[in-house]
Amino acid sequence: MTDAVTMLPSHAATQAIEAYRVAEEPFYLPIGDEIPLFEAAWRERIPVLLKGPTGCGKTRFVEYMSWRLGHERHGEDRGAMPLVTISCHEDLTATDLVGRYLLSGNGTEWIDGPLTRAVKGGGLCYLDEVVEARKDTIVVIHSLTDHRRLLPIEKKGELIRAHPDFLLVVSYNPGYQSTIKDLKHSTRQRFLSIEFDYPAQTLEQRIIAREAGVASPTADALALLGMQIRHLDAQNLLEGPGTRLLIYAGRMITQGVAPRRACDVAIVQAMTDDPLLAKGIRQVVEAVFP
Amino acid sequence: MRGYVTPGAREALRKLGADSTRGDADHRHPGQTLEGAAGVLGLYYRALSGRNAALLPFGDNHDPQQYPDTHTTIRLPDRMARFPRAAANFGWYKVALTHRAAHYEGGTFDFQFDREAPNFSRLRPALAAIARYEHESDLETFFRLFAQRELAIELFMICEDMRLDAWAKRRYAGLRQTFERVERAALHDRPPLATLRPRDALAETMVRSSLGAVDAPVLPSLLHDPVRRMRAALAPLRDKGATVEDSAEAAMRAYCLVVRTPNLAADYGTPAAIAIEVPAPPLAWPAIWPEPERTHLEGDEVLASSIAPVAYRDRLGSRYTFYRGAGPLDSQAIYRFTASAGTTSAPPMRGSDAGEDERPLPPPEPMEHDHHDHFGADLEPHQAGELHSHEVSSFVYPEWDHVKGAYRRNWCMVRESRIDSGSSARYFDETLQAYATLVPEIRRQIERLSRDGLRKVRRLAHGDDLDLDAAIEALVDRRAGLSPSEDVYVARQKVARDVAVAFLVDMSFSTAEHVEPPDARRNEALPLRTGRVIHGRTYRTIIDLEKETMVLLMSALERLGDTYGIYCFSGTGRGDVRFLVVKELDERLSDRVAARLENVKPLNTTRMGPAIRHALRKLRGQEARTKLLVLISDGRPFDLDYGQEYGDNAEVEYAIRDTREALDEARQAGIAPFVLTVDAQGNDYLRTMCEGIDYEVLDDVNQLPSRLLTLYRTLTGG
Repeated sequence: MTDAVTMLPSHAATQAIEAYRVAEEPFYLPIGDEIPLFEAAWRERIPVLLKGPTGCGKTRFVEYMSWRLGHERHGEDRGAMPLVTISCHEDLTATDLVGRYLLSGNGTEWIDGPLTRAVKGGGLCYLDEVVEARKDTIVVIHSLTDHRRLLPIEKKGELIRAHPDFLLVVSYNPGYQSTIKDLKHSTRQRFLSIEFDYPAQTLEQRIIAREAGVASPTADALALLGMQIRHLDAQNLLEGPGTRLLIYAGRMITQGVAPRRACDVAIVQAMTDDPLLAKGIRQVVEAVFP
Repeated sequence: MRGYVTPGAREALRKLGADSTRGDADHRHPGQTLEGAAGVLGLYYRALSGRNAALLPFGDNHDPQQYPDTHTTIRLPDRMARFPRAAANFGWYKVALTHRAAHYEGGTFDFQFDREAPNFSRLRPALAAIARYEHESDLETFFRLFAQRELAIELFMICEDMRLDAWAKRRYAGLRQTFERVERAALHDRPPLATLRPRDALAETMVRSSLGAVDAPVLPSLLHDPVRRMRAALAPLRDKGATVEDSAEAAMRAYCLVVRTPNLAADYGTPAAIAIEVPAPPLAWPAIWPEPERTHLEGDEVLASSIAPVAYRDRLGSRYTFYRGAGPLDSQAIYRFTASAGTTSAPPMRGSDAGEDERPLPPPEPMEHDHHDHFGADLEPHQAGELHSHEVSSFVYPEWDHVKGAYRRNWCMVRESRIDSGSSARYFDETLQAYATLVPEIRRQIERLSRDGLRKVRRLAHGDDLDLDAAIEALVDRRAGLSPSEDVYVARQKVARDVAVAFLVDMSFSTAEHVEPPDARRNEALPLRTGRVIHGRTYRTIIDLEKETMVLLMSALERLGDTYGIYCFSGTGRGDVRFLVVKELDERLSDRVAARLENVKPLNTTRMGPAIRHALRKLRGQEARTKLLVLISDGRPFDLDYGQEYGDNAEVEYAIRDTREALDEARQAGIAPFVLTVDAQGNDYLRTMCEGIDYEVLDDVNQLPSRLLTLYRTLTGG
């Protein structure tokens, strides 16, 4: 590896990163002090870990923050911070994040991975469901997430210093921790952790009403249903229905699907394949919706 | 306990009809059983209330008072046949549970003495003005306001039921119709007013109002004003914002009306329909609470007041107290505590944690050495002494006779049985605790094992890196004018683990031998200190170490997700080789399985051959890519009739050769055998027995747990 530290952003990187801006203000209702916490972390450039169950608004929060931080920084004219989202999965390798050589014409061509693009161009880089990635993959972010703020590209023998506006955000769902799917402590301790939970019933009702465009009684019923099915999660379900699922059910209702049927396809089927459990959940749906 | 017999209740429930010996209705439609619906209903209740409760049938369907509900147990009739349609009977259970869940959702037990009622002016005194007992719940304090406490509790519950049913019908729009049908049925089953004494009749109109009755009751003129006042007092409970404090205030008013009504049957005027809409003249409610003395009316002693219960509603039972046993309980609470204590002896119908694991397994499929291997009566068995199995759990296997160089047909009988579960999984947990220092290391090793399953795959269309060879070939092809291959990348792909392993553990009497404590200076890695008390003893035997190894194995393999079975064996001769199941290959590791380890004890001899053959039979049924048989033993194979007929010196050779043959059979079946022995002299015979087969001799048995796990990793990881 060379000692040379490539000082970027290059023009090309800046252009590439423009594609990742959130165009409109995302709808987000805060459930606690997560916004001021995130802003403080941003000012200090401390990487952030968002913990919480599926569909409770982690991704939406990151989109919203990219928009909000961008507007605080640039005003109306330039819009949101760039936001590069990478959904992690078991087969995600370090190469997928950093970049790879591809065969072209008479030789090879280097293509930057999404992480490299974000590091060069600045903005938020969001690794969604980070535990899904293999542990050896995640190690590449270590030097980025401490005082060094460097990304090594081993294959090119380069070290890239992160753009001053670069911030790494990862999310992780402690609900289905299995033995193997857990964050290494050396990774975990590089982040500030903000915990998310399902919004309170009244708040969730507002979110559903707004996102699904349903009338208030329907939103009310969906929020009630969500809360009640979540009662089951400890023993029966791996995880209760997220707000997102409730919104989907609401949208189906808006589209004219009968409420019970909408809940069945959006919620019951998503919760379980176990016939008894599905029947139990359906009983709750049928109690809540006529 | 005088005063709370409920003559109407038995009649009412008899109408609900779960008594199959009488009543034609039952024969026409069998109705819905609680047992058939308990699974779904349990989930339903948990979702609504956020609480876990066992749904149990009444011991006697005709007496709902024998077991009032507790916070964790709900009693329901074991069968519901009130309605002709099955769905309606199921709906009845659903309404009953919605009502019960509403107590928690709607806040019956959140009653606060000091909190104002939104719909009533306050009759309750200030909390500061009354004496309270330590650890007394607010509901207990409230009920102590009344001289006739039992009556007050009943009346409060009617008010609260009325409030919650209205609340639940608003909350669960989808259930409203069912709810109203159940209410109508309950109303239909009420005792006729004309048969009741005045006080009971007044209380009865209250119950009917709570069930949504709108008809004007026909009653003697004495009761007209009280009934009007009662209706007015109860009406606000149906309001959207009504709270439990409203129920309490309404109950105080209802109580005053009820206790002022005489309880003796007499002529109180001609019964006539009450003009409900006419307001009753105002009445001054008593201002002094707690009630100074019992309001005494004629008939109180002789005739208890009685309110027939509503079948789908629950009784308060002891739930209004704090359960801590501190502070005085009134006689009713004491009575109900004792009554509910008796419920533990009732057989659980569908416990959430019971019954799952002990489902009988299907009988094993017949295989080549099976028990139906008869030749027919007219054919002589071609060798004397053949055994035949006539039981499902007995299996006959051949044995290798190295002197004759042939198998002895149907020579050994293996009797398979499950080890009885001990009382608890304590042995399992204690072992894990004792080995706490070793467990993280095992976990690390095992996790490494699961990650090791990565393999570099070349010549792929997509991948992390260029495959240099393929890339050069592609470029050469292109220069040569050929169309180059696109498969020029390499990737590390995951190889799924697919392992099934059977552990076969020696349970012969020699495993009862004490083990020299580990020498701490020689091997610092040993987890257990000398003299450490484990399972109540300071000394340990070979079988202890075997069992502890099994515990560590089980906890490690559970994390890994491999299929594994644990079997023990011993025996007393060829007709009785015992094969004891700790955990079947397909069985989940439950507390019941863990509890079996407690009962693993040294037995008799070590006839390895048939045990190996039986374990192979189990492994053959598995579809895993890697199959492994691990034999753990403390010495050479030996049995009473294991080759002794060739002379006393031949038995060693005979047994070893048979075992060897069995291990070879394993290899032929694609199952990798491995022998681990803790017999320091093992090298002498293992060389013969395991020629070409992997084996290991542990010179210190204390190493068994840690060593076996390392071995496991090597055996399955490669």
